[in-house]
Amino acid sequence: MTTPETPTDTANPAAAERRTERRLPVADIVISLGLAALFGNAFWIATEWSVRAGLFPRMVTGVGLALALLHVVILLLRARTPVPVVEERVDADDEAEGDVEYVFAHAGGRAWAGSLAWVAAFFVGLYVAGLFVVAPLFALTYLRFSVRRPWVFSVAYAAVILAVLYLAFEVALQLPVPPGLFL
Amino acid sequence: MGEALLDSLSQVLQLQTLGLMLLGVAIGFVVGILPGLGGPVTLALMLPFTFGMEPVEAFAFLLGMLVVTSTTGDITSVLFGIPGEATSAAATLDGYPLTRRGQGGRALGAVLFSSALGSVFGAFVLAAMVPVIRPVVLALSAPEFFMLTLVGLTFVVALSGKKVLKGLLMAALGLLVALIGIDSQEGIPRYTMDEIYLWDGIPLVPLVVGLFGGAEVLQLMLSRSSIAGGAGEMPKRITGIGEGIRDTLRHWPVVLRASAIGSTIGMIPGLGGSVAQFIAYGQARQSSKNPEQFGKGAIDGVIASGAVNNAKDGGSLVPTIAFGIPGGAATAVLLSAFLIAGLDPGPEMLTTELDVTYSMVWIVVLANIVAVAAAFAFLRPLTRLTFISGPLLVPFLLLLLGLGAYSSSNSFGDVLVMLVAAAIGVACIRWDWPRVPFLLAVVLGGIAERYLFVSYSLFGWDWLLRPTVIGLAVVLLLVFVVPALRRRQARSRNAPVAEEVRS
Amino acid sequence: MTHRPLTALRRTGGAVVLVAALAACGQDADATGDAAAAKFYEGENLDFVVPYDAGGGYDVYARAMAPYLGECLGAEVVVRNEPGAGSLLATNTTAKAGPDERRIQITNSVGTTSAQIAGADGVMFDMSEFSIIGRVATAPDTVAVATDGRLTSFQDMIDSEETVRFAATGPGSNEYIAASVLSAIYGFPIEVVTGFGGSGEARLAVIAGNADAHASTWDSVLGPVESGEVEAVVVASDEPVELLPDTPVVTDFVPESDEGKELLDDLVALETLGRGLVAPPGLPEDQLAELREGFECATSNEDLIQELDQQQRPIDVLTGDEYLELLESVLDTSPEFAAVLKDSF
Repeated sequence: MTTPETPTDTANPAAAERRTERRLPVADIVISLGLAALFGNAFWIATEWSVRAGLFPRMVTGVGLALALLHVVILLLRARTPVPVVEERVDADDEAEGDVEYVFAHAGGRAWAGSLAWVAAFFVGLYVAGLFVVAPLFALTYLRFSVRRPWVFSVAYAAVILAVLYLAFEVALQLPVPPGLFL
Repeated sequence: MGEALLDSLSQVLQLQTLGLMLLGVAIGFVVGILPGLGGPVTLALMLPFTFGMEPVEAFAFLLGMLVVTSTTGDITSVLFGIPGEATSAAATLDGYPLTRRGQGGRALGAVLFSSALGSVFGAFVLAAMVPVIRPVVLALSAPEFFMLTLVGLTFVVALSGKKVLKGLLMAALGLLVALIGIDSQEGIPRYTMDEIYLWDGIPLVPLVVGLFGGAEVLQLMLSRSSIAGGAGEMPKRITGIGEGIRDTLRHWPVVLRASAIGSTIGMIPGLGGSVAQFIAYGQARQSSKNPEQFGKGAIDGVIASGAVNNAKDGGSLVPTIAFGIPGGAATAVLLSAFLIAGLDPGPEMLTTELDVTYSMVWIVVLANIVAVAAAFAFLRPLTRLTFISGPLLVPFLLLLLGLGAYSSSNSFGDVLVMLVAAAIGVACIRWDWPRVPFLLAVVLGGIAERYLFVSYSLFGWDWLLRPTVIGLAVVLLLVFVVPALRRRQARSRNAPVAEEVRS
Repeated sequence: MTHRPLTALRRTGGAVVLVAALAACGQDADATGDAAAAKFYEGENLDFVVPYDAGGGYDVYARAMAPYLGECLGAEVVVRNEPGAGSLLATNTTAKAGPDERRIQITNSVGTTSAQIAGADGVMFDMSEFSIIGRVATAPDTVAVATDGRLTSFQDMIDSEETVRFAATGPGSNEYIAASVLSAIYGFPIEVVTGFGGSGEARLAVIAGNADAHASTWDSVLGPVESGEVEAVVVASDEPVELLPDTPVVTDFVPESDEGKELLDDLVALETLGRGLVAPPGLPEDQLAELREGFECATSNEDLIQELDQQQRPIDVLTGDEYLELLESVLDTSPEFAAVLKDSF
């Protein structure tokens, strides 16, 4: 993992932490190996295709495989001989994501499990029960039980969502929305 | 030409025409804000109402609606990090970081004002192009399109920042994703995992919505702070809108260049806005004085993505008007409107029906000005949303994600694509991999392959010798060489400072 | 606009409601009659599926018909775009749908039937097993060349010693099929250049002189023909298209070989399939009858006919029984024709 060196980043405790102890970037290595496996598999599949259909896939997956392996090698070498990273180009989306990255890295396991469960509930509900059921229901339960807002507020929020959805999609535009399995 | 321009303006300024345009603008405004629900569907929905309208009235209604969807599509990109359209992805890159710093007003001011300027520019390009439309459009063919995609792909390096290798890897992954679908040469399903849904490839809108929006929503759920959480309490007054406008005026060369890129690429059937935004954005970064700010809240990045988005609309009308050949789904509906109104596209539009053509120019300009003015009225309440507690927005934002994805092809597969893209987006942020090269490669990969094969099929290897191709190759070199030279210059000048930072 | 039926008016109302922000939601009261129990579709929502994105020819027909069909059936007909796999995705979904699903679909019957005959990948339907409602319109493929191009007539093309280069999006598309079948019938050499992003792009390549010809449904050729950029040289049909009066039909050109003659008959039959309207397989008798009646009622409405004429998309109706018969005869095609089609996928 590269070290952010822009001055503002010193405020970021994660960055400071990382700078002092340089360890094996396990996540990056795992991701790169995963990508290598993906590219390798895709290359294997592409070998069955004719030249015209297979040319691009073979090029892309071949280059991808090589890059992924190269990345792993570089990461391993760098981990063995800690050299300060020379900053040549400046980063496109590092700092902006800095705080988001911080949130993702430091949210506890329970927060993750909870949030993912809510998201999963929403989309499974969307699939099973359809939009008009799940949207207000989710708003109600999420606001009441996760955000712990008062009942009145949660019900009002849910009602507004249902009304807006119904008017916009059913009455005005007559656009299809996820119908659920029972409709 | 001047007379025809004035003549057509007076036609547009009729009371009934203006009224219809305002109605169209209002509908387009709302639709543009809803992610995924794009211009073409709305146009198709509204087409039946143009029966019995005069041509200029019909275009005031439809075109007013269409051009506004690309303006307001940027609003959700900037405020919530959820792109309203596939063409608004670039606006999230810098607009959303600004919002998180509490400068949502400034970002929105800049993106909207540059949108307005861009659309005016695009409209005037359309007007000015009238005499030369034919030869210009015909001179551009598959080889040029291929070169343009290459120019776009080179920005992968610039947009991956200092994680060049990671950026290249993500780009390779993006190219692999772009390969999914039926191949256009032999009809072989590639990497489709026996799912017919994937035959047409990975749909772009769900991918963009998930890649950018998914991570932001999850972040709000985890952190439980407001979007502009880092900026402290909600200010009493939302300021910065004027600042955004001033920023735009100060960066007028960026507006000009992005608009030029937008209207040129808009003219090309098959490339369109999702390609144009990245070329303009990458170009803005290349020519910026402080490229290191890009992706962290560079105001010129916001301005470029706003301007390019709306300039393309003027350009996309060119092939429709001149040849009766629509460049995309939205202009296909407009072509139907031509027929309903009893107009034949083609040379007549540039001679006897010139006033109709020019009235379209005016409509594009006026509709955008109206929409932007209206948007400014909503800016304060909208920006306030970014200061309220994040979890309160979560049910609403999840809804936007779900609907935005689903309306792409009204299939639950779209929602699944969105969720997978969201997972990729979250992983990218968590482990510090760049997302933009991935998206860029997805957008450009399939097109690059198709045009390479078409170029070869049409021209053999001669396509390499076409003057426009050589010209674009020179541009390609400049894209690499000029920034490198500039950096070297800057480095030799600032050498001591650079040393200091490194130590 | 005053002659538009109720549903459309209600929809206008709806748009205004949305704009004026939640003003009058009570307007949407359903006009359900007392006989609702007897009819399967009355008072219900009916999905009208278009297997392509919004904006194309199939979409135009569906959106124009929907309010009239709704009026005739007493149902709320909602147009639904389900693009994917060049119309195969939606057609497969319709084939899998149960008879109790209120779903009808406009089909690219030329494309789907060819795919079925060729035994192409991804075909999970049998066209003759759908509950056939009728044919909406014919859409014979039409070959267009550049106005000032190398070839000026179809005869030129037939006589061409040089390879005629057709532009197309990809294998399996209607434009690809038409080009390769015509070449098989008349024995002229072709090359189909694929990879264009859409029909518009392909046609532009013809106008620019980079390719020789492009085949697509006649109504999509109309715009550029009227702009004077391309010329339509032949319609793959045995009767001329009204709006292209100067364009000869393919049966005017007699193929040299007997095999070619047979293939020509097969092609003409295939092309008459046009744009169909189908419901899921196995619909109960009375349900199908209800749909067919609604279809006939809608398509005989003068306002609809005029509306579509105005968009230069005329209707050309076949009843359900006639259409089913036609479909079955086309599906029962010669092995030679099937072999030619196979080469297009």
